[in-house]
Amino acid sequence: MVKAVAVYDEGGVKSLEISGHAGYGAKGQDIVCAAVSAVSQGGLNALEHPESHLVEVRPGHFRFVRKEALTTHDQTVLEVIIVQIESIAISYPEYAVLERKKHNVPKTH
Amino acid sequence: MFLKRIDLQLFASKKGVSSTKNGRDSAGRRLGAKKGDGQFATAGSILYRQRGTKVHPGTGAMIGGDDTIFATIDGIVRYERFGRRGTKVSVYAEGK
Repeated sequence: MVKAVAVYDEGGVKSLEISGHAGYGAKGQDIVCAAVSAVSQGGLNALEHPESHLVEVRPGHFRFVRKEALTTHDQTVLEVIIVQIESIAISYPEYAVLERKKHNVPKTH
Repeated sequence: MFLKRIDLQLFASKKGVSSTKNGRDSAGRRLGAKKGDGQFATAGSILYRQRGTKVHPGTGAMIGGDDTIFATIDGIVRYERFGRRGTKVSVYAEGK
């Protein structure tokens, strides 16, 4: 099961973390894994300023953490990645799941 | 814009399951003794199925083209020694 967690805050997408193994088929034949891989890594290629953020990609692990303010373009790209993963999770619920979280910034008095 | 290469199996689980070219076998030929020592055999009945001569034909028995040993007379089957390490099967008419 591939698990994706998208965290939002007032600045938009704060982080996107994808981990696990789809398990739909053997390596090389796993279409759910291929879909999530293409969407996540392909999406990274569309970012204008990937170098401004923390990006980790390795087998079974994908992590994006916003370090600076996102451009409108990059915000849209990240949202497209998340929506596409959500679409995959809707079609293959036993193999992929997406969770959206709100990052509550502690109020300072 | 520089585009990084992507691994389409980034979230794949098991290693690729390799196929094997083996996995075939022929059915067992049910070889071996068909009449035990002391059993009664009729002429022409098969005593021992084999490949090559694990067992040799003795008295009252003959060997076929596929090394099958069969009885040539009615009688009692006996498995006996044949030379230092061999075995032979004979058929002795009853009362003999």
